[in-house]
Amino acid sequence: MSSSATGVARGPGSPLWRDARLMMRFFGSMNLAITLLVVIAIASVIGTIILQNEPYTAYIEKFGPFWHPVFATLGLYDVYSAGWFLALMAFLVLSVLVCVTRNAPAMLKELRQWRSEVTERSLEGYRQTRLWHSQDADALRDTTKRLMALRHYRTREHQRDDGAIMIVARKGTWNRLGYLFAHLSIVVICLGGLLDSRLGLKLASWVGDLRIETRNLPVSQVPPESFVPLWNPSFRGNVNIPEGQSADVAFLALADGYVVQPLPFQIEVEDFHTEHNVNGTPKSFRSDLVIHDETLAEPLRQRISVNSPLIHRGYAIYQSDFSDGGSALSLTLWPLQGGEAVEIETEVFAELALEDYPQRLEMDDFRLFNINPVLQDDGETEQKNFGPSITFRVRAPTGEAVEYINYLAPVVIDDFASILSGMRRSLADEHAYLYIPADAQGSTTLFMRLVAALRAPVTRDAALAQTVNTLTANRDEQGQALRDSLSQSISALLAQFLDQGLDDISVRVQEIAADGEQGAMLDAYLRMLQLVVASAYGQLIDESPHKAVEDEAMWLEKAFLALNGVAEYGSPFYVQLRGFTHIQATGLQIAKAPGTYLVYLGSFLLCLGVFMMFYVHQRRLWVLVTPQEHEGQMSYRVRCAGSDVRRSKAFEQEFQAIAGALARATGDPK
Amino acid sequence: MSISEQALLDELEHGNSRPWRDWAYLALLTAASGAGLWHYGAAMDGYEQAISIGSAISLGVMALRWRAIQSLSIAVLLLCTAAFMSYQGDLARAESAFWLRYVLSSQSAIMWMSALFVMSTLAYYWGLLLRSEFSSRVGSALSWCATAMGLVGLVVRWRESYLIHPDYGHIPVSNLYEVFILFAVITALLYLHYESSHQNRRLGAFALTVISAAVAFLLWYQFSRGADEILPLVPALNSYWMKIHVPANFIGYGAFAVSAMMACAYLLRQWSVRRFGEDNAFARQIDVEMVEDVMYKSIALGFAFFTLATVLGALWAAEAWGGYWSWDPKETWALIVWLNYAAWLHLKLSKGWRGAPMAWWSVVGLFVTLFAFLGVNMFLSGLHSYGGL
Repeated sequence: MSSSATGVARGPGSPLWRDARLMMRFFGSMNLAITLLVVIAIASVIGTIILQNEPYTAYIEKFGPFWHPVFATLGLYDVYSAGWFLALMAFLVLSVLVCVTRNAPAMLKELRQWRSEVTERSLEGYRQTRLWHSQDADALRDTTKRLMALRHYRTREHQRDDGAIMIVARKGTWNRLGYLFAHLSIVVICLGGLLDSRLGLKLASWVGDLRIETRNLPVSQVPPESFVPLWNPSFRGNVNIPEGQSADVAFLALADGYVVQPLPFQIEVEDFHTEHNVNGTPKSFRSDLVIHDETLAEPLRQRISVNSPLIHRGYAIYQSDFSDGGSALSLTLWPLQGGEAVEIETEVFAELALEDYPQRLEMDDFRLFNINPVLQDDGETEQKNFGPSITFRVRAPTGEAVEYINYLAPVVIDDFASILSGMRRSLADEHAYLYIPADAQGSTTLFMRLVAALRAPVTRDAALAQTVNTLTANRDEQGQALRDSLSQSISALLAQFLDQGLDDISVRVQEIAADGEQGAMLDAYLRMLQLVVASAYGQLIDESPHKAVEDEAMWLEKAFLALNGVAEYGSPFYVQLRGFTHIQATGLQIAKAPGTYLVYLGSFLLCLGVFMMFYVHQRRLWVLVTPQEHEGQMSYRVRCAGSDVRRSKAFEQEFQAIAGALARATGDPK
Repeated sequence: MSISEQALLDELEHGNSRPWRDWAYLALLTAASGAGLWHYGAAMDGYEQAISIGSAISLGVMALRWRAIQSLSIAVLLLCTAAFMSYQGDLARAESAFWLRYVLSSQSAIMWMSALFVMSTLAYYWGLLLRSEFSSRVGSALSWCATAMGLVGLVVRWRESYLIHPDYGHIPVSNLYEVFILFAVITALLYLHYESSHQNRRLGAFALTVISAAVAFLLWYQFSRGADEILPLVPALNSYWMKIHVPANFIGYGAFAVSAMMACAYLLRQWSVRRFGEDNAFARQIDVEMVEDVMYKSIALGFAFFTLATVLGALWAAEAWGGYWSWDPKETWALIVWLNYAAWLHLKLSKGWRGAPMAWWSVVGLFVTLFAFLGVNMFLSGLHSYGGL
């Protein structure tokens, strides 16, 4: 471009005008348009690969501290409202506009024009043309018009000054309108989209009128600089409202935080319910809403569900999500490293300081149903309800947190009932599960008592003594000294097992034992540990009200595995859910999008335009009848020609048929 | 539709008259649609009734322009009626009643469709490679039969979903398994249309290759993942929009697939010319003009319907998700596909490009489309999470 630009600057005429024309030529060029189409397509891919609008912490974890700021600056976390992406779209719109303004006048003129002044010479030069002679001008005119009507052409007759008659036939003139519609629609759609975009919010936050809030606060504590004015014409936000409560704001996600959009009415949620299909999967989500609005004579009650929103004063309220609304929870904290069990009453979203532990407990969620696919023996997956669960975080004084998901009811896996507790140290990880063997009541209580028994000195020593007895039962000659030393080493082994787990023991065995003896030593250790666990279990069953489990050997095996897992559990206590009162919250999406109507208009024009361009074929036929005298007899020279924009084979065929039929019907012997 | 001189002269003399079989067909179509609405109309809402009537009208218009559709739709109607009647409202009869078990239950019909498409592919290849017009005719006939069985399979599956439990009832375009059947049927119909309008059966081998690939995927999906099981709809899909959005999309996908296969024919021919000279046996089988024409026409058709489908999707999204456009991966990939073919069409129509570059582009276009159709569900997460593998 630059070389031709300098070439023009030296030329005659107003340089400004010339520059403008050059710019027009650049923006209207087909090459630019096609390049833009391809570049926008490629740029759009980015936003489908990088998850958009996630919390910044997730990105730092994913891309590392070096790339994160680069990506953030390039706007890759919100590509579709990044400046450079919007600029590309603006270029496309400009390019379309220039194209349309250049082509529209000629096309609109063509709509009106019949082009009846075409000379015979030029008709001769058309790709589709034919010449014959006829005797009867009136019959010719009549036949031409009837024939054209049969093929859905409109005709117009024109008497020329030289006595010749021109009949012009045309159809599909609208094809050109199709071009205009299809291209203008892109401008209309982009304008509508721009109206509904978050560009205004971004500008406001960039200028500093609006502060993005990143803390998790109740609405009442959000500072006023993070409130969007009520008159904000377009937004899309979310709000979670527990059953029985109401809200008059929506939260708009922006960059790494949110801002608050006030609403001119209150939304009260009377009830939220989920219906399930016979196989347990959700069938519908519904909220019963009451809108309290001063402009209404009485509150508006409406039930909304997925695919059926409520639209009130231009605000559309959609069912988009659901969550817990602060369910009441009864919990027991079972110690895993010694101590007493504690019972607490709390609710979802509470953050608790604990008396017996330095950690804090943050209750995140309660779910009544957990429907997960389970792979069956026959290879088919089946949807299975795992029952209620709680999700919470245990936060150490250092600030690090581990997330847990604990189930209430046991799940039967390979014919054995276990209670699951999932844990993960980072949101990016998968959960690792602890399978706690269920007792006869289907709860974790027996296992937790077993852990406590192995930790508490009195019960532990009793179990150790019983183990030593068992081990030395057939060796009476062994003295008390040996028994004491055996008891001590098993005690140390047990402590290591409970604190560090089997992996640690096996590492130690590799360090101290000769190569050939490692296996035997590890087996011996395992047997000792299993005996201690079995003894502790036996004592528990004897003294407490616990009923024995059905398959003790299996239970002990699973308990042993679970004890090993406890070493890596990451929390000094296990949270057992004893009871709950379920309170749900509905997740509403609230949107105001005045650009919607423009977008719909544009979409309609686009579809109409595209179909018109492809399926309305613009075709013209000319029949020029020139009288001529030959040896005193009047005859007529008939020149028929046709043109279509596409030069399609179909038109060629149609022309051959029409001209052929006309020639045969009006006198041409061929 | 091509028109001949003689036909025009006849029309000029006797007026524009429709043959009696067109009228008979329209009468039958009206009666069948009326009966369908009378029988099932109570279960539909106003939109669904409108969609049904609109579909019947479109079918009528299509059948007048392309008469083969008349025979196809009558065959499908008869077979489906037979299937509905032999079910007698009891799903268990799929195993016990002879005709249901071996031909008409949706599973059997779909198996027949699969087998017939594969046989048709073989026949087309035989016809192409051994220059046997008879074999190509057989391929064509088998394709028609396969299409009919595919349609029967879909309609009967629709009925079966209601027989399992009214909760389960839905149009079978809701998951990947079902739309693959739709894809095979639509692609076959599009190809057959071009075949009949060009009176040239040589390219069937190419078009049927992509259909056979779809059938292979379908069978794998069914036997290794049990995808043929009828499950209830997820709440987000429970809308009349699905009934128009998905079929419109698959007309687009099918047309893009046809164009890419035509492009393959073009490129293979070009390769054969380079390798064996201009006048080799294979090159003579492929009519370049037809290949380029079909490539353009199917992209134009695909583009038009894909535009419509995307707009319908936006309207649906506005209702279901609270916004007509969310830059969800599926939406974004739909836009990418759209932009890609928009660029193709501009090159073709404004710049007059043709030949190998456009053919390559069309092949690449199929991969982009394939990613939008399958890849997004497999690799990317988003709102359109129903079609996962």
